[in-house]
Amino acid sequence: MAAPIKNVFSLLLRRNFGNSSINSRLSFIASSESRIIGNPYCLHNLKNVNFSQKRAATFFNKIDAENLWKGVVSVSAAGKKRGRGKRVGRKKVTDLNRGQVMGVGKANIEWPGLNSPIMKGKEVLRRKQLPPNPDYAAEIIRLRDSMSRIRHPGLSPLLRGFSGNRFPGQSVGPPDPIGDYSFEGFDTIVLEFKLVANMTGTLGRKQRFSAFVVTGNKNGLAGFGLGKSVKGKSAIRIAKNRAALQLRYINRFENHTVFHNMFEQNKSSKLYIYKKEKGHGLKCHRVISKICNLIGITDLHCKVEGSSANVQAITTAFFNALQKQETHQQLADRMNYHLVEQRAEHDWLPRVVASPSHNSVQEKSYRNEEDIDGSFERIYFDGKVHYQPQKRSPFWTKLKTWEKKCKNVAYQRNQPKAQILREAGLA
Amino acid sequence: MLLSHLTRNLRFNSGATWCRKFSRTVLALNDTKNVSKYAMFFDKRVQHILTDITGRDEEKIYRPRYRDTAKPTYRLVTDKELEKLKSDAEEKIQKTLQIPPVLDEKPDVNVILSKDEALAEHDQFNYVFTDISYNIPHEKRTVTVREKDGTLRLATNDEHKRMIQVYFPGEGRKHYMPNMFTEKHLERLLEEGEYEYILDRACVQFDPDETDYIRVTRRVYEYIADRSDFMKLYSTRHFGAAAFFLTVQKNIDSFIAVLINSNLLHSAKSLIDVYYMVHNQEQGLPKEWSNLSDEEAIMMFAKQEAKDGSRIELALQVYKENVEREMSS
Repeated sequence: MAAPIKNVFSLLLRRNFGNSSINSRLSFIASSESRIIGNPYCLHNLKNVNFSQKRAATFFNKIDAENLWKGVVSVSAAGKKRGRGKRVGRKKVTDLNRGQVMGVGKANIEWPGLNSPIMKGKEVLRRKQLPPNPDYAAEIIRLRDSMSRIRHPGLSPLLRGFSGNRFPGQSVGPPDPIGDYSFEGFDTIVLEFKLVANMTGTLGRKQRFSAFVVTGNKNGLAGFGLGKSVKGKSAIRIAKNRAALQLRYINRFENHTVFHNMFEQNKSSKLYIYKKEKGHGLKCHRVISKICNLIGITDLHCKVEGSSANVQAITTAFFNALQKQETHQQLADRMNYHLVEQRAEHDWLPRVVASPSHNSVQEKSYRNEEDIDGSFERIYFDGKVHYQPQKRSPFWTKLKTWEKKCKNVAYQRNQPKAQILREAGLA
Repeated sequence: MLLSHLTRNLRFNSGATWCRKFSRTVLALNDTKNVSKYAMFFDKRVQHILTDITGRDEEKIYRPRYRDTAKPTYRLVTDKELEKLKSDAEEKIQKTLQIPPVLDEKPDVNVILSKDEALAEHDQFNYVFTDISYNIPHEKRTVTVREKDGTLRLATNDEHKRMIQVYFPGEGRKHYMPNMFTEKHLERLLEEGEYEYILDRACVQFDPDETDYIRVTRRVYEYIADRSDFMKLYSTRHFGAAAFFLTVQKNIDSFIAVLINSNLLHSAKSLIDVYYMVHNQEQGLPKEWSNLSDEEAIMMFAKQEAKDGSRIELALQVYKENVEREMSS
């Protein structure tokens, strides 16, 4: 009975609204009295049929997906100037269709020809309701979430450079092989990476990247190099390969530290380098620490005075100092004295590490104990002393109340000890 | 930490302290007719030989033994100053190489001072009284125990030691015996070859005439003798002690063989000297002993006295062949 009525409705609808009403929604609300009684074929039998139209006029219908996303994701020109929308946490355009499969939905139904084959052997498959699959929806949501935010691949704290996700302090691998020689066991660390510019007649301000790197095999062989290029990575590559061409061998004391304390200056970077015992570690400027790692020096103290920001000057000075080192044998030969070493781990027993090989030993004592600058500690410092600022006393020691308190408690200062003596009957 | 304790205590016990302290007890033993062979340890000639054969291996003496680290110091010195430094160092080395005494066990004390029956059942515990006044040597310090039944007696060796440790704690010495000296753990340490560590710590923990010290050290020396592992103790203060103990035990064949293998023929002969001094106290050294060369003396010992003479002869044979080969090449 119902089917013919439906036909009539559809006819009516087509007449009134045509087929163009794509964006509008229609709903029929039939009142409770609109029961069809009697002859179904008579139109006049339809009583009290109400038609009402609902048109949802929202921006979802008017604006396309691209513009919609733009509203969410874009950053204003002013915001861009301030650097907004660059870092981690920025929203990204998400492909909401990702992970969805045609024909698969909430109701887990198998549609032959859509999401499953029509024939299985000779048998024709039919539509089939499968048990619900909650993982499907969860997977779609997971995929959506993974797209929505920027994620940087994290570097391990040991591989991270001096600061953040920047090149200085980071390892960039061994230099490129030259002929048959591949630099096995070598490693390169970027010490400085910056933009440099010069003015040209045609191009105006021409910018390039400048990379300053040090390479070494952690066993005494090391070199440093400077490379420039329009592209950052190629600047590093150029610097790395240049460093590989300037390798030099550095003599170390028992493969762990330098032979003696020394001073070296390049431009206004002044280095006071101190020989240290095994187990002391590297206590120095980060640049020098990285260079030491690549040379294979494990124990050293270094104080940088003057310019501690000029990486290239510091590096040059440090390499120069290491090259100028004098071995113990050379010292003994130059001064014509025995060189005696005493170590805590040997209970300070004296051991002769070098004796003059050509001349006889001098008879006059090398120095008197008051001559500080003549000691082995300071012999290479040329009278220079590194600046040690006085420790500041805490602010409250200047307050009047502190002075007052000191006066008040002064008479008690020896009492804890005196109390013990009194109790022992000794005072 | 422990190592530094050991070495510090070593310095504390250094010099003639041990000799003075324990030679007194030996003298007391001398009065009785039953003289122990271990008493010969304090004989001047024996001491001289034992210190002599200890050896001065630079590598061994200059091994890093101390865990405190500090900057090494360097000095430019003349020949004269170097001599002075070396003689000072020699004193220090002699102290560190002083041989811990090899002694008999201390006889246990069983002296009842009084028996006061009126005091019986006075308390649930024994009472220990210790004289803690200054300037008394610890071995002379009076420690008495009042027992529950009213008996007042002198403390036993063990009690005495424990009370001394309570009032005058020795550095690095534990109140109770460390587990490493129990049989189970000691064997494991021996297998690992930690002889020096065991002996050093035993020196800190025990007195040389204590039962446990004697048990531990003798076990180590015997273990070393089984393995012929003597050179691990070379240039340490325990080398002479091991040599003396094994000499008294008439167990020096492997020791002499090892000394010959290490080209220490004179040391081997000196050790045989000690052997005769300990075991032939009346007769003394064999006839014309001083005229014999090292090789002849050792050969004579191998034929007359040694338990396993063939072993010594074989070592001597190998030594001779090596010398000949060197001469010809």
